[in-house]
Amino acid sequence: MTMLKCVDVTKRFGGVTALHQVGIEVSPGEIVGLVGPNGSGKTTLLSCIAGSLPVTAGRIEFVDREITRSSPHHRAKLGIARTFQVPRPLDSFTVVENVATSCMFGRDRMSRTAALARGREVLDRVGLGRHADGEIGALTLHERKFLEIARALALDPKLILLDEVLGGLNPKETDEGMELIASLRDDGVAVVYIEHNVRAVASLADRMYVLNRGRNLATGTPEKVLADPAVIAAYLGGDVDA
Amino acid sequence: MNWLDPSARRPFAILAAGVLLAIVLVPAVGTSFAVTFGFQFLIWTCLALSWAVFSGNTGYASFGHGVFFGIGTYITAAVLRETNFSFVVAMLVAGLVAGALALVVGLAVFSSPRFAGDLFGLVTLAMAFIVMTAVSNISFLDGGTGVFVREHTTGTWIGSSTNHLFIVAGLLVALCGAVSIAASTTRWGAALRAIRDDEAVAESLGVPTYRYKVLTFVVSGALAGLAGAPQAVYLGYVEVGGVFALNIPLFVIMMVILGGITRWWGPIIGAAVVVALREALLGIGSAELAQVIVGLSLVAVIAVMPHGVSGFVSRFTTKRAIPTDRTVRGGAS
Repeated sequence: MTMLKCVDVTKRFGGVTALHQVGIEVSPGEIVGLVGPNGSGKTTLLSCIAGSLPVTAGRIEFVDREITRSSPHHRAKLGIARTFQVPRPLDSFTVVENVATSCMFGRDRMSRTAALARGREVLDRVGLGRHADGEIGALTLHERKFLEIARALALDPKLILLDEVLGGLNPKETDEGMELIASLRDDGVAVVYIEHNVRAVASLADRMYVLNRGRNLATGTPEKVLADPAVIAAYLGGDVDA
Repeated sequence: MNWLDPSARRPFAILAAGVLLAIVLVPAVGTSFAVTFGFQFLIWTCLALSWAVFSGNTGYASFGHGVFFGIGTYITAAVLRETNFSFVVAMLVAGLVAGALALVVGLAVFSSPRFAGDLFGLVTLAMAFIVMTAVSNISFLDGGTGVFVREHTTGTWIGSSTNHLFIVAGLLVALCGAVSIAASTTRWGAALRAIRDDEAVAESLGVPTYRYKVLTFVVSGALAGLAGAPQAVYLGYVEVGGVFALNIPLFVIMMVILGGITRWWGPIIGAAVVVALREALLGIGSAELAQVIVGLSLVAVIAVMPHGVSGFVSRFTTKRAIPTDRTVRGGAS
């Protein structure tokens, strides 16, 4: 069974084609790595799936429902959560209020009291429990990245889109993050995972998609994809960033 | 009342007690000057509170609030002149029409991300000019001559005494205040503040931002429209230049900035300060000088208290975007 299906997704910004007939499929409980050189369209594809960017052409289906034109909040309620590459916490909210917002407006529509309690549980899970009542300004980059994950998790999603959540973290924090992402699979949550660090993606992903210049370049198991001459050429021939 | 935060009970009680005290005491013991002055203060308070419900909470600064107030004034004048309906009916129609105008404008403006930023302010300003021109050319409303309201209200309850106008304005303040408190303590308020912080993030967390913006704009506009009703009776004669004067929305914005939006009562403080300052300065003679001094004092307040009077006070207490019962929250930071 396929949970997410992108068919021939094309996105143009004026004359620039960021995505050209890209297709990906994700099954429940699967971690799918999305890699590619700088500017290959990874984040654009993620935004198209989350609904924050309208596609120019193509079709997106989620759990047997076409969502190509759905609003981002509607997709969030259907069970698609996303993180932002550069963390975007709600600054006037405390840490736990950021997470509780997902619980109040997501699939479960909790009351404020229930949402705040649930928010604390989610923060505990990502290791931010002691910051729950703190202000956003006090968080480090690593904590902000994990807050992004917590906010996404609090939506109780079926699919979670992670955009470089481990970028800029030290080795210990990266390990913590990878453990957290791996634990999502056990919950039956599907993950689409963008990361610059191809090694980190390869060690977590069940399958990988490689994008290059807005097109599908390769797909398959990490071993197969990383051995693909076309993939090696794209990385070595373009901007070397992994 | 599971949708209402327990922490909202006290503000509601204070608001109800304050308004009740005012509408009983002021007409009873106040001079006619005091009642008139109090009436003006209450109307400005309605406008400041209702502006803040939308613009304060979402961060979308509207320069068109005077239009909803003005439309409310004109609709009331028209209903009282053309029909035999009572003042209360006229007031409800005024609120409905102002709300409908806000609905049309909101549906259009918020459907395009192009107007997400400062352009929203310009659009509301354009709306002000369009409505002003329309009203002066629709003979049912005005047609360019102005409308006498007084001859249609003499002998009625509302037209017989400024005390009655004061009571109506007091009840409207209670309504605007209640909406403001609700907007700071409910799911609705959390959505509005998420929109103010980061609209794209709010959407990604499941907040239907378009719906919330449109509905809140309608509520804000309708409240201003209601406030236009007693204003029409108070003025006795309404004309476009006065009712749609651009300094009305500017004064409203000034009041809210002065009072601050950190707490729901900020706009009330702002309205009190501006109205009192204007009155005091008018006493010394020059209206132009009064405007200058009011403007300068605004600059001074912003320099000392960047979040207004209510923000200044709140520095010494905690603020919560999603307030809840203290026992549940545990140790607040």
